[in-house]
Amino acid sequence: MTAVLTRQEDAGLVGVTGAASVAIRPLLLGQPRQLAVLAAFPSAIYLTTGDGVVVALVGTNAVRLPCAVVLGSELPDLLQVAAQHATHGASVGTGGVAVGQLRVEVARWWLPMPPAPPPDSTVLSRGLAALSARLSVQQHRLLRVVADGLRRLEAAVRTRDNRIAADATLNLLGLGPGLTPSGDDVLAGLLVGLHHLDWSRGVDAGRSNGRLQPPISVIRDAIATRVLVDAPTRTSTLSAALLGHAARGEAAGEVTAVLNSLCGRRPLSPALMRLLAVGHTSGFDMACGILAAGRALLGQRDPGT
Amino acid sequence: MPARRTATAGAPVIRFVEVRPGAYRDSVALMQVSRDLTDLDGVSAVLVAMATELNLDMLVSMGFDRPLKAGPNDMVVAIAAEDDEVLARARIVLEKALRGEHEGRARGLTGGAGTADGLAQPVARITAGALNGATLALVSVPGPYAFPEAVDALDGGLPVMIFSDNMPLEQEVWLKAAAAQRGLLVMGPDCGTALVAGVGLGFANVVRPGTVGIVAASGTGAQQLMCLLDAANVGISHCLGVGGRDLSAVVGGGSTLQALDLLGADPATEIVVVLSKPPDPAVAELISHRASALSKPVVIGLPGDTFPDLTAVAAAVLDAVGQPRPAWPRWTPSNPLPRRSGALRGLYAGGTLRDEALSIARERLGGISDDPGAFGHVLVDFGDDRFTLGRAHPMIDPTLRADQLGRDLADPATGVVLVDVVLGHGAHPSPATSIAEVVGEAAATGEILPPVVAALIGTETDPQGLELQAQLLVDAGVRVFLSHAEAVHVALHLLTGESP
Amino acid sequence: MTANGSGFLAEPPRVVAAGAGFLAEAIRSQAAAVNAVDWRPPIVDPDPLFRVLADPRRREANSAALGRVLASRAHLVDLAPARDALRLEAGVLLHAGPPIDWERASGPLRGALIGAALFEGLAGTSAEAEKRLGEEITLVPCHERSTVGPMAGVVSPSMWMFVLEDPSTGQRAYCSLNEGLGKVLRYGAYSPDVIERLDWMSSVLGPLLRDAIRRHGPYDVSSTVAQMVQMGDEGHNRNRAGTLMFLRDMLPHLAESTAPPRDVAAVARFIGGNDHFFLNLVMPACKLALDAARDLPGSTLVVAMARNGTDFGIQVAGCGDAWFTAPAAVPEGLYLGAYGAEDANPDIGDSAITETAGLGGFAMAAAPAIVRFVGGEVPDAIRTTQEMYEITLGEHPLYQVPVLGFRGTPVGIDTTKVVRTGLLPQINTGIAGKIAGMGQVGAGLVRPPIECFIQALDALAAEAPELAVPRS
Repeated sequence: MTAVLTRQEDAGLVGVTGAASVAIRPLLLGQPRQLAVLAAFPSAIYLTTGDGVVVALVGTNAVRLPCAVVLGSELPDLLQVAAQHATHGASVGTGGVAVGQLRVEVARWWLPMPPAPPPDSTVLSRGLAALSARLSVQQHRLLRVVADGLRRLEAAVRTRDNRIAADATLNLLGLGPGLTPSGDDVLAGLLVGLHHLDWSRGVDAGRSNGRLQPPISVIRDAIATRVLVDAPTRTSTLSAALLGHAARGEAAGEVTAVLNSLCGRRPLSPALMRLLAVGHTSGFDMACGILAAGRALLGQRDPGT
Repeated sequence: MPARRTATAGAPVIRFVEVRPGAYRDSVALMQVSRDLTDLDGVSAVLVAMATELNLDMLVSMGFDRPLKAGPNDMVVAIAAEDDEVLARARIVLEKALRGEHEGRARGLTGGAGTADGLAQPVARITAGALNGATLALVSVPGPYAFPEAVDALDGGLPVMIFSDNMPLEQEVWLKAAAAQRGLLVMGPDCGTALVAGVGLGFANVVRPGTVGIVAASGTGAQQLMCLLDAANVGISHCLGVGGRDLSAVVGGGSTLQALDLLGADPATEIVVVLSKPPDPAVAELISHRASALSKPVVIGLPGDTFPDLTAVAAAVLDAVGQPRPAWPRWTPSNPLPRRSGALRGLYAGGTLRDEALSIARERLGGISDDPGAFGHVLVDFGDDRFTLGRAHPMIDPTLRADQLGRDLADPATGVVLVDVVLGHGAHPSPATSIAEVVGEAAATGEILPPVVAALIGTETDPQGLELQAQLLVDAGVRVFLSHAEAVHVALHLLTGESP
Repeated sequence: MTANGSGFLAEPPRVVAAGAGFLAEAIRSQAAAVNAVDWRPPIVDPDPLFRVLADPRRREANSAALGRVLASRAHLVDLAPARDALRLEAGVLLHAGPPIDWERASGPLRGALIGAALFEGLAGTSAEAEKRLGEEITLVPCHERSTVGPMAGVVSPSMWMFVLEDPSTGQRAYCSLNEGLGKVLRYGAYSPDVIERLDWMSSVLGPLLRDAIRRHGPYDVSSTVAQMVQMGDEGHNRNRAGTLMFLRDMLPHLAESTAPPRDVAAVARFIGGNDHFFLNLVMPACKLALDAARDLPGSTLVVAMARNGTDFGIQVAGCGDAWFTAPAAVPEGLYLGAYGAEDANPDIGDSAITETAGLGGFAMAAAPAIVRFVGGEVPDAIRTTQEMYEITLGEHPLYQVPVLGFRGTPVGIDTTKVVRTGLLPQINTGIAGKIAGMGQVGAGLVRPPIECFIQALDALAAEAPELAVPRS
């Protein structure tokens, strides 16, 4: 039952409902804003307001981006819907999204992040070992430059070196091919990992190598700031928007599932399988970023160094 | 062949070995089964294989006892688990995996999708035929027939929400006992509202996800609480319904206790609220004891007992999460109908809100009838059995109440009319319409109408549109409140002139 | 608090919904997974259903019953006359289906009984046979003597029987030898050439096969059945591949016998010329499997479905020897030559034991060739098997259906699921002419009357203990 049609006067409109990330709640409920189509696929449409804000309409089998509305019921032909944008336009606000003749209203809200509390260090350690083992047998490999950059960034986080961290972040931004460059994906994975795997609960935790560690939030915010400032000019609109979400700890559903696994709340294998299926290498790249964050939080050295 | 378990002295490990004669799976299938079991937390060793000599030797080398009678045509299952709960979980995962359902592959879900070969499996006729990949069963068949469907769910290892009412009490007792033994939750029977991980089940409003977990014996009561919290920007993790009889002496609170445990262990939930009418004293003791064992705060909300009303429960929850109490939303017409003396006429679609009105109004007004045909003060629950025989519940079919509303508006003895308007999934596409239309028609006759006060139970993003519904009512001169308790107090004030 | 219960809160639920459609629709609109069940009210009272489902013995009893059925393996170990193998007494005749007396017997059964009486020398003429059958000859269902018989299924002491044994339990089951098509005893024919053929089968066929089997050693019938299911046979109406495999395996041992070559050739020709020969091995193999599950109190598993040409009867594991009967229906299908529905006898034979064990109609998806013969199309064959999954307790790991991804056939009919879904077991059968001796008039599909299952449910409910808190 879609109430949209009881409120619209136009015929020919198709009203559907979906489940929306709370990260885009203000956008969905606010004043209407025009949207342009960024990219269209059979099971996803990415749209932008033009000032860095992205909203996605996705089918249940497509990636659940932190800025997505997941469509329920029958998936309409999204390529056709995107094509209608030329004649009918697209907008977001006052309760939903409109693209072409499609009207999407929110029937459910979901959180684009795992629930608190973060894991304890033993659970996290075990989870990371399993993640590391599984990633090492994948046929994917990080691009050399990205792997080097991530290694450097991970070391900086471990030693709480804000300056090197900011520099390494800058070098990763926009690095690599694809709709979401590999460098951006590892950064996103690292950021959400730092947000949600902080086993010390942000309190000034113990020591590493005998030295007092500042809380992880400081260096995490340094990286986040770097990302928020520079991503819009260094990478695609979509990727910059997703990095923005990551900076706030907001992640795709597939990422949240893996984070939950690392907190010991569910089995890792199926969650990781689904994450690895995201994009060509996006899922793998994000997983590498998460692993790096976890290791850095535990003060473990990257075995590759 | 009976399974054998041994607990190794010293190390807390349960070793479980079972032989299944004549059961056969190919080696790839067995590897998948093993993988599913190995993934489970607390499982330290697994062997699922055909009982060849080679495999039996491996079994022994893994520390298991060699089964007495097992040959190459038999399947042997060996699991080493850290405790009984892990083992029980592993055994359920084992059954599912042997049926071909593997974690992460929900085959056959949403509208009869095909098997791996693309040959569509015919649509199932009973719950047992559609368990593949499901994590929860929802049963809403007529009450006398709900039991077999619920048993299917429990036998399949699923928690079950029984929306149906009129299930015989002895069946409810049996189900809850069986469920407790298997560690599964029975929501209901007569559970009309639930929310699990953000998905509304039954009559449910579209709320923010958050950290408040609710255990409720009443659906509409839970809806009022959730809508108030949502308006205060507080989100809900889950709302687990337990049915209206759970806290009686006979049923003994089984589902409530289990729900408390579940929410206590749920990482997303930081505070738990129990909503009910006052329970049997012995059961209340059990609940209170279990609540205090939780490592998170529990608010026991018994409207009319520990709290005067549901709105007070909401306020207590806000206090517990450290959020400020807002002014609850209200919508005032530009030309509100003026007050006058007379009878209170409360026409309700939901029994819980009607009871809340009764509990508030009784002190001020004395005798109140539940019969719409009576003179004087009346509070009617149109959802009661005597009104719903042969017709849909008033949440869905508003005609009966609308007719009575017309009569009460035209009656000069009426002092004030009180109604509940409930939004959300499953409710009427525009519940305010019938109220607004009847009021509008009555106004068009030129007669002076009594004031109408409405409690609008909904959220900003309900499918019907909260603001839209409020506007429809307000345009007809109705005073609208999100808080039903406030609505009742205002109605009484309009009636008696006394301040609430 | 057990580990299992908490799982369902961690993620948005995947719901299976039975009942009001708007509830499933509301879940779907929230982009959450929901599988809606096409529920309809069962035709039984809710109370017996409740008592049977709430029986604390039920789950374990059914699990044990199914386990035994699936674990059963049948080996052909010997052949012998019924008087020796079954200790069948003189003056007793076995027949297919539930108990019946001469007065109520239909044409084909009467004809077969007359023929058996003549063959056995209990009477000299058919008139005399009829008299003795009406007065003094004792009629006993095959099932009650660990035996099954196709169509009229009549067994007399001199008839040679296949002796099948489960090597792990030592249990046995028996079946006569298949006479072939046309005018045969099992369709009620009793002319002199029928009797002559029975004589030959007892004096040549039986003994030669016995010798061959004794030379060969125990013959794994279950293994052959598993293979034939993947070769287009379903074990009831189509047994061609099974027959050929049996002949292939027996031939060397037949050839090595000291019997005259003419007899060996006649035996080979006889078996090779009868596509249904293997049916008489499939049936007792199924009987063995289901008999293993008998007498498990609390179990709702169906252990026998059988027809005597007048009544259809079923037996249930939790109800001992009780038969639950109702009038048998006339199968619907295609007719041979000029025959039509008016020529058909009601359903007859113990061959429904194949469906009871997960073959026949239940394996139709493995034998699409049969479906046109019974008047359907290929998708019907697949759909039939798929529907049967909903009324059974498990899947047979041995009988795998290639087109369903080698999924095991549905096995273990659950009485409660039949009455709840209204889906009756689908039986794939030959149609007998209603006049004795007419022979086969067609082939088609038939289902048991639901009354059998309702009676069984009531009996199970009466057996169920007084309700207490369940143990499992």
